[in-house]
Amino acid sequence: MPTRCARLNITASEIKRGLWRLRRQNCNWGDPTPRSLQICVVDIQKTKSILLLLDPTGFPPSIATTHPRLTHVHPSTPIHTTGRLLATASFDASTAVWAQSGSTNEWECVAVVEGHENEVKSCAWSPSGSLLATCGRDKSVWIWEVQPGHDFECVAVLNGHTQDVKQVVWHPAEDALVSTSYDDSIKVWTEDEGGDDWSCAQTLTKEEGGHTSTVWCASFEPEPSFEQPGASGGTKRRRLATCSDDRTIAIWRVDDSRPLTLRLEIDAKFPCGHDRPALSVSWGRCGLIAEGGGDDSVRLFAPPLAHGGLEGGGGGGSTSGNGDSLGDGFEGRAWREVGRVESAHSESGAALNGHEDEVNCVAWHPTDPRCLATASDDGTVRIWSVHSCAST
Amino acid sequence: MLSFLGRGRGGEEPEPSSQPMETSDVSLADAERVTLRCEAVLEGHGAEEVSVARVWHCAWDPTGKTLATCSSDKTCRIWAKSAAAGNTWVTVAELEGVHSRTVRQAAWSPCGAFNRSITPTAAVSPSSQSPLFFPR
Repeated sequence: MPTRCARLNITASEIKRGLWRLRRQNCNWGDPTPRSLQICVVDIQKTKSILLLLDPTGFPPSIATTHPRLTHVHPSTPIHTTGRLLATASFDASTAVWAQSGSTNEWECVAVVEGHENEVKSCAWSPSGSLLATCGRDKSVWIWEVQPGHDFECVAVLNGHTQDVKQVVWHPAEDALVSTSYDDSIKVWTEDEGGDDWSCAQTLTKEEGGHTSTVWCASFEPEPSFEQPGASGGTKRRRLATCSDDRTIAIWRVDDSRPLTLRLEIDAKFPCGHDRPALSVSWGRCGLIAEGGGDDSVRLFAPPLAHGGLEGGGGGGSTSGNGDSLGDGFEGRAWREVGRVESAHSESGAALNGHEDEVNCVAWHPTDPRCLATASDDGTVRIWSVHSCAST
Repeated sequence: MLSFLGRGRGGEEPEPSSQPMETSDVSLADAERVTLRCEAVLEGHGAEEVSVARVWHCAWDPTGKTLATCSSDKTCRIWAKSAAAGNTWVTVAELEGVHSRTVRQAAWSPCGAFNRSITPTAAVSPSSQSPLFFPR
């Protein structure tokens, strides 16, 4: 087994409450295959160790431990997951955390995290698994730190949204949180330099090219693939998709070069193709964005084919006469709808296996790039395989 | 290409169907058209209720072997493919009795193992390898 080395630059300021939290950019994973590295929190006071886990694309997960002051990690070794946690956000104002017992399908509720005044709408684990974010109807976003013994300590209550917060989503590799709201805005939350507090790093409204109605959902691109026009060195950036009651999907370029000040910048905004709210988006490993809609349909969007001719700056390159309601020249970079499952009730050709009511959620499979799951008000969940059609 | 769920469907030929001709040569992102073929319909939420229970959310676990779904029926269900049931999707666990209203969303922790009280010396077991854990 080849030796993989990771360089860990750990500073004393990263010790918090007996827990170490490392950031991905502090690690140089000497692996030719680009895979992101996840670092788990361990009670360093007790174990003097750091656990490194490859992300799900590298499953089965590898694990290595090292003394914190050593700079090399030894060959990774497969581990057997002894259990896993699932958080569920409920309208009963609580978020429950469930643990699996061993390899059986016995699950038990190990914690009920309470703090929100009323309906909890969304919950999400940070990429390291050390933080849990929740949001809800009370307009707030809470961040909880996982402590030993399934104890959840609130480390931040983030106020700023003026309406319901619909969803929270973590950046796939950084401790940066995105929230979407009924107040039509998207907010980015990051930890302060000292690591003691969280604050809003950015608010994206229609002024920034964003949405004009409720933002229902956000989904990060799984791997960075976007080349910034004019950028040198071929550095690839990640993007974020958001969808809205305004019947559009927006694409944002993510500048995560400085982790404490993650920035989003509008890249494209295009109609979702139907006249009902766009309720859910998921960015797949295949490069397609799936959208679930209030018209009961599931739609797949592919990136624009032409990559050349992007103007720097204003981007006024309108190549079609459509979409002028969106303005600002974004329509030149509109994504293409390449596949669709119509509603089972569609008058223009009902799909045999289409959903019979609103599609609340779309979710690409984490490793199979062709597999998509959808959940609907019709009471069903459907699993789809996606195939490209021969062009000739 | 990563196989589907590690086993099961990975190497199988697509079933004959009346769908347009499909090819795997074109990457999905470059394709002019793609089709979605329904592989499974998971039904079970709200089975004990009079009216249809909405399914609000679904979330794959990080390995992709199981899917968590949550519903207005106040439960979260966990689904997996069952070899015993002809490789179909079945509910393997129903998380209930805690939430008193709609379960709106579910989220898997990215590394559940660590959250349990791991003893690193035990977790990183193979004794034949160089020491992976350095005692203080």
